[in-house]
Amino acid sequence: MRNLIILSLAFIAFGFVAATSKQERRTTCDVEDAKVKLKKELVPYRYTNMSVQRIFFRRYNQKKSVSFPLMFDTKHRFVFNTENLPQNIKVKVYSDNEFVKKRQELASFNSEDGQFTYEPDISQPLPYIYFEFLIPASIAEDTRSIPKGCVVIMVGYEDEYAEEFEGMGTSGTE
Amino acid sequence: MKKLLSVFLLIAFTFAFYACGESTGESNENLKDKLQQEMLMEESGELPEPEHSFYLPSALQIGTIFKRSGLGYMEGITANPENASKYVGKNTQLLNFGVFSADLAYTILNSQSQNSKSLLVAVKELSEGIGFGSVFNQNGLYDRFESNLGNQDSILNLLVEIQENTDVFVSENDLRAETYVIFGGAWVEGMYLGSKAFNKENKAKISKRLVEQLNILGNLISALESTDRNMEDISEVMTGLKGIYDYFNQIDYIRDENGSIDFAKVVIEDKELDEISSKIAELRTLITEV
Repeated sequence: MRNLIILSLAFIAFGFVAATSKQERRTTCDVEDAKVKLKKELVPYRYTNMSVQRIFFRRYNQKKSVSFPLMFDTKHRFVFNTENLPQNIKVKVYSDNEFVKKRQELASFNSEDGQFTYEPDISQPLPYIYFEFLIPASIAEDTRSIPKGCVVIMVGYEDEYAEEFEGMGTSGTE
Repeated sequence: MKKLLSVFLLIAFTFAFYACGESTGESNENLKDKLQQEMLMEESGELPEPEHSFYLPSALQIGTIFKRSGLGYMEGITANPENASKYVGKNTQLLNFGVFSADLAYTILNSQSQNSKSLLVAVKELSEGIGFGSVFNQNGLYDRFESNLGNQDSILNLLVEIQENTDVFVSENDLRAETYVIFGGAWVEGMYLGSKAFNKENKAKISKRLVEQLNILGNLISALESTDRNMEDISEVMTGLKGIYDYFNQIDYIRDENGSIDFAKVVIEDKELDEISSKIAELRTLITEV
């Protein structure tokens, strides 16, 4: 009997830790909410994939980057949701990785905008596009915990019917 | 007392089961351990983060791009879905999950309902093995998929929904390394289908796509090497991928003086195309054989 109670308590403890850790992730980064907002912004582009970049604000400045392949004759749209960040960061768009001296800065955004869109210029085809996150140094009130959040990026591509629908716009509900 | 204990036990098990959420099997136990470990490391700021992460196109996007370039359907070139249950080892299952996902996208894009159905069963079966089962269990996705198999638009939307759910699942459970292995399988299968199903009419366009995909291979190899995942059991696959990439890199005439490739204009000779196709077929056999 005693063993059974101990076993049950162990199950509860395990369940509690697992549930809390999952919940914690969801509260620091509400992917589902961001997903809904990003999907609306992606229309009429077709969904390719979604990337969740976890951002940790440490006591020193940091850089973090992510690259996506581009198809040469296809228009792509990248929609960023930065609402899950406790502090502001900068997002820079580059034609190449940081080891290439001739790389061009193509665009720059501030996370305080909450959500923004970038479409690479199809007339200057690139095999990859690089996004660099500039994360400023920061320290939490209690000086121990690490402020954290996330940037959710949704990627889409234009389908073969796009040209025929040019100028017609898109419609939807809020 | 016994009754009280039964109720207590029931609550305890229910709570533990709920906490495990969509999880089943040993792989999900490991996943929970990993999550807990990471939570502790996150709190202490010790969690190692990659400075650079790679994103790779989905199997559906590769399929769509090839189809737009004129790739038609060829009967009998997709992998055998009956083999799904015969793959053992997590990495082998991940690779073949990628293979069947690419095949599923290929058959759906070409309105092959019957083949799509058996491939869907294979994908679902392997998804349980690799711990991605919940992706199909959300909102009755599998049942909806099955019942809409004849409806091209609905099925494509459901395929996108599966991709969305997978992306969320991967991000919530930090499974980037696993997705790189899956993409490895999907990439090989996509290239295999592309190289098998081209003909005189679509060859010029398809070969441009093959070159474009070969360029992505560099990122795939870097992505696979960037993780601390143990890949000893699929080291031959890694060697195969590198072999294809090395061969591709020594084809000088498709590059300009800066080493860049103009994918819109690139023309690759039959000799090289045949060699690449044969290397891909060998690698695909290595992945899919039971």
